[in-house]
Amino acid sequence: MRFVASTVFLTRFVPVSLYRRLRDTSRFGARFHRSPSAWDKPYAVGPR
Amino acid sequence: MSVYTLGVSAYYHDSAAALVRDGVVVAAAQQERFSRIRHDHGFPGDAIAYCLDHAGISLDELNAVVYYEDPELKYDRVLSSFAGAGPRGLRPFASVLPEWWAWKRDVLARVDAELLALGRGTAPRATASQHHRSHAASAFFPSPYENAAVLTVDGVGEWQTTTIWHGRGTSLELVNSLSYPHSVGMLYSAFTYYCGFKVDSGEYKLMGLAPYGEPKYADLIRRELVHLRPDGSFTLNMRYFAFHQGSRMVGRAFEKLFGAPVRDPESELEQRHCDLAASVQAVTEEIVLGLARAAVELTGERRLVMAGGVALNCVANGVLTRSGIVDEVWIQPAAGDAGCALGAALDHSVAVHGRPHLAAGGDGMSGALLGPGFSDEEVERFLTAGGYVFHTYTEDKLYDEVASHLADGAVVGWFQGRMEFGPRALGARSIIGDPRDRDMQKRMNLKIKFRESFRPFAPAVLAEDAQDYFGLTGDSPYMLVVAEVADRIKSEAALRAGGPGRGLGSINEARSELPAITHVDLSARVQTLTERDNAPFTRLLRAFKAATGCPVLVNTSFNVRGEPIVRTPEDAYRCFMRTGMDVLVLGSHVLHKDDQPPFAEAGDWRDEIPLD
Repeated sequence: MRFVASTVFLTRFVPVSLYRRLRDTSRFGARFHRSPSAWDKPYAVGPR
Repeated sequence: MSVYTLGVSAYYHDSAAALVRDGVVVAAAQQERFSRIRHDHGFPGDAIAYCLDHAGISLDELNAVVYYEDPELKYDRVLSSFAGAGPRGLRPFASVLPEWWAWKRDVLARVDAELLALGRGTAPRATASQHHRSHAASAFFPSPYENAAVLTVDGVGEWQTTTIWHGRGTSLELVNSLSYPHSVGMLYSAFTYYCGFKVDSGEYKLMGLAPYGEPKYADLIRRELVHLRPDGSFTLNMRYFAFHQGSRMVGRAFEKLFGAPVRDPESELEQRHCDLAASVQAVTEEIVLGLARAAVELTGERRLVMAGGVALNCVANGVLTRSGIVDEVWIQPAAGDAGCALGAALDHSVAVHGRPHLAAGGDGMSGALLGPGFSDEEVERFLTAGGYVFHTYTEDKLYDEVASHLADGAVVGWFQGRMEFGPRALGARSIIGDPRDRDMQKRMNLKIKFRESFRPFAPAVLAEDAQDYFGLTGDSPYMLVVAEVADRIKSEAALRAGGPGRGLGSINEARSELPAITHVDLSARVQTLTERDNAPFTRLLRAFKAATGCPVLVNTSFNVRGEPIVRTPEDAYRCFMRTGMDVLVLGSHVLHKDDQPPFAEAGDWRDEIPLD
């Protein structure tokens, strides 16, 4: 199982990770860190 | 016919079970109290068995079993986390993922199988709630409020780390949320780890260390680690953290930023660790205030209820209660993951049965005394079988007898009624002492609890006397709010200094008339007591006040460092004999250490209990 997991990680996850890092599209990246709000939904005050 | 719902939290930390009957919580307990493994994450079979026995039912009579979180959503987050980890995630991925593929994705089937293995009948198939919904339900449904803003803050659930809900009657509506990895719980745990304490257990030590320091690094944290927004949201700069990559909480960049490697556990604490603790505490308070402001703004409610591990940060809770942002705050006493079992069960139940406690007034937690209890006859059988020497008192004599021992300086193990649910000892499984005694803190820390000398003790005070001793803005029945001691009991030196003493060198200074419970910053984590919350402990306090004029006692949990709080008379007797306690009170029975037969154990018990 560990071998399968390692293979999956190297072939699927590392490329996705590097792509996201390169494009800075991840929630872990600097662009998100600098975004004006971090709430999952727009911050809407008033009656819902 | 009554309708029963069982809530279960398990397989992460602080596994627990809770049983709700017709919208009323009738029993709840953490598995650690039975297994004697602190923060036990295993299936809470013993806690479930206790809940069933207490209600006198089998699994067949349950209407529903609700697991506290959604395994599929959590799996999704785990995968995404590794996708953000880069090549460094290889080793943790290879060790973590096989477990997910083997059973964690289908955790509900495991819960069903474990329930069947209890041999107590057949339970309905387990269903899943969501982690922060369980927290929110645990905060709102048993609260004393018809409507309230609900704030949950912890490390991480499935994806969410912080949520705001609007609670109205029996409805709970999600208003907004923050998601992983942006988490104030993770921020606090990262500093806990960096200062050499255990994650998910040492956070309260960091909180206790903070008053010895100055928030020298707070600006650095705000500048580099956390981006706080005016709308109350925040993000972490993941360049510095490593919790998404494996077993370390912080990366090399974090160590470089603060100029030193992670502190070795049990090595000497330096002033910089106190300053780091003070700094992250200051930033945490700022974040919590921002979130509370957002909760009020988004819901229009002036009453706030809270749960999640961060809601156990009673210093931040104290700041919040004094801030004026909200009119009233109620915090779930089992605010950590154990409380999710209770929330999951209540969430399922209230839709049909409503919230019956609202009609009676007060909250629906029964003083958090929801665990197992033992009758005087059961205790007597245990004591007689062991050949232990004890004296039995009628109720009217018991309190005076114990109060006189306390007034003479004795440290007393106090075991009464049903055990507390949640991390705090609230006077059912407590070690108590006279707070006026200058040496009490040192004695309790070093000879009874065997823990670090900087750690403070909490006071229990009669609710009607609380304002004379502490700057509280309301009641604090679950010891979840820190307040400053009143000026009138501060020592002359503290008043002359015009503020708190700082630094580890000031540990043993007497800062007030109640030195054992006055922390270095002149604060105390207060428990206010009424007959409604805990009648025996309140009556003991009244007797102590009658004997001494002081309505305050030191109240700390009945255990030693690293051990779960005692559950049974046997646990209590063992802890009593292993430590420097003088007197043990088990229900109506009083035991004196000097009267007991020799106590011998194979080996040193300290080797059995891992340090926390």
